Amino acid sequence: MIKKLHHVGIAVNNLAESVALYQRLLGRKPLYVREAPCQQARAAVFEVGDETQIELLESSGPESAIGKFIKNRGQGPHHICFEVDGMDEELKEMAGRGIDLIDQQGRAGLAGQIGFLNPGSTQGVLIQLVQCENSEK
Amino acid sequence: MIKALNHLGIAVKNLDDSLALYESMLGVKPLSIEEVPHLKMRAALFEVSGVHLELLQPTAPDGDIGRFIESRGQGLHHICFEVDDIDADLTAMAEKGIELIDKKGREGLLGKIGFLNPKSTNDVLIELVETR
Repeated sequence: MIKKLHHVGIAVNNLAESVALYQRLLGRKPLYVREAPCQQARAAVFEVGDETQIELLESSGPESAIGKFIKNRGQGPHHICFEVDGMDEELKEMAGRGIDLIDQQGRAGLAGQIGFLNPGSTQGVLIQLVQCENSEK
Repeated sequence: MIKALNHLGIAVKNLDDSLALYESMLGVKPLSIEEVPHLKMRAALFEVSGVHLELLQPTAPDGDIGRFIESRGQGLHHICFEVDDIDADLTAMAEKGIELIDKKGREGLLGKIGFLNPKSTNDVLIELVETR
């Protein structure tokens, strides 16, 4: 079951510039800036309120998903991520509801186990699910 | 001051199809579905533990959502942050060098809203809302 909106992923051309921008917008520093090899990207994560995060993603290779996205569409909102309890089970349930998956099983991501749904079956929105590492279940 | 993420706006071609998709994914019904004639769209609101998803279907090709879909296809359209005081927060953003689309708050779906110019926010359309 989808529990909450975990974060919004935003593709950016230049992470340092975008970190400066979001510091001004949000009035706070990022929680962390780190490599995200799982997405061939560098990521900066900001907290907004108590519950949700903004994840800025800069491509670290031309063949990365973020690099291709920016090449096709330019920088901008890239994906939305919902938190779930049991990743593999949840992916299976989505498939059972007729939603195509990019990942058949969870894999390691920034915040825990992640899996992407195919935007071809979610009306052009790239949706990620995450089972957080610090989740109680 | 930005307090929280209030909602995500998602441009869709066919609201009925999208309602079926999001009901199936989220396991909940929409909070509301309404016509928004002055913005040339129909909107459905879902809630996921305090954050809203706003599905926006154009009702004419020359509205903002119609033009967005025409040029980029359906998908994520805007991000909306909740603020305390829309007019003061828009002024504060302008003072930080961020260009505004709306200099002052105006009536929106969830309260008084104002948009920042995506040219000065790395091509992300950002809305601020002071909720009712």
